[in-house]
Amino acid sequence: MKISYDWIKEYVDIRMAPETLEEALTMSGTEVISSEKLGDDRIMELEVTPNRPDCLSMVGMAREISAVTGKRFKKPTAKLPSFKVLKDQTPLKIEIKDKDLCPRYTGRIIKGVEVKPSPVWLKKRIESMGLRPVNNIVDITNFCLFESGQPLHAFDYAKLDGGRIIVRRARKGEKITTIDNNVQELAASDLVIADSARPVAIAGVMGGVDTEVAAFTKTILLESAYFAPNSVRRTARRLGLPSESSYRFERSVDLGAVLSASDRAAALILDLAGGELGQLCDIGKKAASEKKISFDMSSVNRVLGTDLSEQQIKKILTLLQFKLKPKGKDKVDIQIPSFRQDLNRGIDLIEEIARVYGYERITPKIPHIVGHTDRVEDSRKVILRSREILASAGLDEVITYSLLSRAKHRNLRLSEDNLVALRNPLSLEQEVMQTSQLPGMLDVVAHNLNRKVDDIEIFAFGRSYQRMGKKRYKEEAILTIAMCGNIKEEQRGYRKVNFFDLKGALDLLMDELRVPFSIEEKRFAWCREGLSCVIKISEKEAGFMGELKGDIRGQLGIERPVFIAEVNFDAVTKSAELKRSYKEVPKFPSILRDISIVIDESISADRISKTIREAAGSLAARVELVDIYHGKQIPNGSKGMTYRVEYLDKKKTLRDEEVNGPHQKVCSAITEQLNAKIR
Amino acid sequence: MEEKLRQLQVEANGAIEAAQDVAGLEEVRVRYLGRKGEIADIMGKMKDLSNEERPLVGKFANQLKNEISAKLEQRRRTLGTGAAETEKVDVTLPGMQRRLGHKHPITQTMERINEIFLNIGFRILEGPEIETEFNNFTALNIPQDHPSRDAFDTFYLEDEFLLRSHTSTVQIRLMQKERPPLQAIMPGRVYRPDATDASHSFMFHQVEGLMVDERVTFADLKGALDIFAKQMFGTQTRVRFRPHFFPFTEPSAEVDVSCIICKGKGCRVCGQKGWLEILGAGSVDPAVFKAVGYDPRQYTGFAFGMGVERIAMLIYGVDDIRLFFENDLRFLRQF
Ligand SMILES: [Zn+2]
Repeated sequence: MKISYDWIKEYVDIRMAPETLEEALTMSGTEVISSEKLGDDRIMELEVTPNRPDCLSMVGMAREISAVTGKRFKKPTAKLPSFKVLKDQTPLKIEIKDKDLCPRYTGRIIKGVEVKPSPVWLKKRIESMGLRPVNNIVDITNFCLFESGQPLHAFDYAKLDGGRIIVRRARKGEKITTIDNNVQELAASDLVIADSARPVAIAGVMGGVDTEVAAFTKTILLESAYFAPNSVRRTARRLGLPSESSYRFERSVDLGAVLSASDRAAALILDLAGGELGQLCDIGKKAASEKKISFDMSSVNRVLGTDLSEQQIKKILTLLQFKLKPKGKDKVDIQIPSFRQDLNRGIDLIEEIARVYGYERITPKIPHIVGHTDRVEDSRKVILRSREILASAGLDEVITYSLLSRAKHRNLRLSEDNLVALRNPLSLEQEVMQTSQLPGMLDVVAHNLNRKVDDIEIFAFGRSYQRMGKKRYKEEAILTIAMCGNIKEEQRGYRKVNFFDLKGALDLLMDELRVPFSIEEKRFAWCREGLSCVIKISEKEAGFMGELKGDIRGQLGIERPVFIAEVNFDAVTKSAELKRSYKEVPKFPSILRDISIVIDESISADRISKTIREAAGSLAARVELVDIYHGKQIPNGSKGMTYRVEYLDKKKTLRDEEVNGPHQKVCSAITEQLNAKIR
Repeated sequence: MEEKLRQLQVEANGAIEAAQDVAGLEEVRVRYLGRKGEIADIMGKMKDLSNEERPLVGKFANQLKNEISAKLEQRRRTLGTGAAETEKVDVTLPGMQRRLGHKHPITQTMERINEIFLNIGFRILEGPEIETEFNNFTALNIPQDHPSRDAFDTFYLEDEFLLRSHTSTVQIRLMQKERPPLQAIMPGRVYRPDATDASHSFMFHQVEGLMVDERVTFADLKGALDIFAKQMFGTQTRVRFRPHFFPFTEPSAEVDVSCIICKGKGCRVCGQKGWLEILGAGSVDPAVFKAVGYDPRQYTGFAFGMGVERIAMLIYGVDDIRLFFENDLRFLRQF
């Protein structure tokens, strides 16, 4: 909201530099967003908080300035001539059909006005608020809006069908052409001002062009009313018609000041446009009931941590124009003026006191904290550690949106059974909540490939969201890894990333977290045949790993293989062990034995190492694949492999002869059980 | 023959000493220990010896073999790797890369914020993103007809559930579960239907904090946030509290820090004001305590909240929030 420094001086006795005032306002809760010179005036743009509709006017801000600076407040008064209702006039009939949306409506006839340009002083005020002067009548209603915060509207009385005003909800299909010459379609929830035939204004939002005051207007109907904040807000927002008027109604005007604003405008009209007063019709609730708060002054220091005296507290309350009635020790009854609808409780007054006293004057204290021993949840610790591990392994973390389009979800052939959908999505791009981070990750892959970044190894921690039934939702932590393109290989340039880069990263992570982790072949709709696995944690299914199906990545415009894994991280957390305890490092040397074999291609590495481990017995501390090869010396359909077995006795130095036995068993197991040849 | 061996011993030792490089040493090894070397030669001739002499000479020959082996090995170590010693290396070749991955800048910022409060003694708590109207609004003293409840400002699901628009929901969950004293921060994702532009995103991250006990005051809030600001932005940072309005706190404040770019002199980032608004805060409104079943006469508290993206943008000088969610690796690898 704008204020003019020159204008506001009419209502409060200030002579300070504008900068000083701006600082005082900002530090008392009305932030000065910008301030610009306009001739010899200064226009300040203020951010008035939603709880302070009483500040949305020159008079309101003058009152506020008076409270925070201690300078005298001067309230303008309307000098209306005492008038007699003329007998010959057409009777003014006003009816409120929807009192919930319009608790008070005043209409006043002024006959014989002369519509003409406003005098210079009035034009200057209107222009200082960034508006163009229109004519004296319209300018006066705007002037009063800015001065008092009560929006007013003037109708050309002759154009009101039947001379009637009906305040009612719009009927379905009703339309109105507003003064900006747009046709607005009304909804049944919109409040309108209607004559006997049609809506003539959208209540509190904008008037209609048919009944606006124009050059030949002779008789006007001056409206001053209270419209319910929510109704005005919804209508203005739905129609995209924010106005100075709706801005004030939607934050609530002062029910008790509806008539005085009309008086003030009428007096100005008589003065500047001539004419005589006609009938006044004031219907509905006249004023909000006066409020009294019983205030315990000792609560001020208890909440603020200050050391304010009773004297200081009372002085601030008086500056705010509250009337005080002492009620014994520490207690005081406080009469709240009608323009401060936001004050209802003691705590509200404490804020007022803190604000006027100055937050800056409250001395900071170090809070006394009784610390917890375990301040981080286990799940969080595991995720924190995992991020470190994955980043150390060269993977970059990404954050993807948890909302996505139904189409993207569908493209990946993910299940739609428990999908969580938004009732009011911003667009179809964010219509449902993810059950997997896969779509988001693939967007990241595509985005980077398109920008010629093709060394992609990324991970993301997020959640999957599912609707499990009426009022039941499930959120689970997930970790997703994607790899695509190239991996920089030392000095020689790049090699293509493959499935085992992905598996290696997961192996490393699970090893560090001490999570029992394995994979088995299993089909997933989004993985290609032959490279599609289920991840098991403690023998339970907890995710998938594989290569993205070619047609899916084709649709996404990804031309290179993408390797993907996703694991339920709640399952990981449950099995993870971050605590470490010392195990004795072997004191005695071990013996290494290599065994090179030629074996049928179809026999899995997992099976071979299990066979070796079992055969080698308790002396085998470690079984490791050290080489795998194909080539001329290996027959088709077979593979050459070299395994290394480390034999170790914790109690003594092993001798070669002691290893011969177990190692012989390994050789026979491999040749007999797996039909391999030793090379 | 024993004589011969003694002679060999002296010769070999001399040759080992004299060898200037690994190649020379290898020559020595072949000459004495090789398959057709001097010792093998003698061993070959042992069959001519008498039965008494043979084991003595054999033993000596073996001892000598071991001795020469050991001396060769010792000399090899002192010689280093020979040719490698003088090998010319193109030191301008790129180093053998070990690529380090990067944590997302939002994660890094959030962890930094968390760390500071953790050190003051706060706990870190998380909660669901799909929430009830009660936890997101009603318990936080946000009236039924408040604009923030509009479909324009909050994402709704079926069954009156919604996507939390702030992590204050976790405060409610905590207070419903535990009694004071409480001090915790709540980091997490939140959602608001804002059209995406350089400074708005429909999904972003927040860290909120809460402290409740008997006699927690507004002065404590100022103290806690002062520590935070100085640790986060530097010890020279000044903090200022401006009165503001939030339904869930009373008194409420917006908290500014002196601009981290211009140090308060005024620049483009702070709009020439010298101050950056980074936090909303205040004393917990008694209505919130009532909603969770605390007695407002017994307990007081403070709460605060900040947007992680905003702070990350300030710290890193990022001028478009969309960069955080676009995940261009050339962007992410800068952090
Ligand atoms: Zn600055």
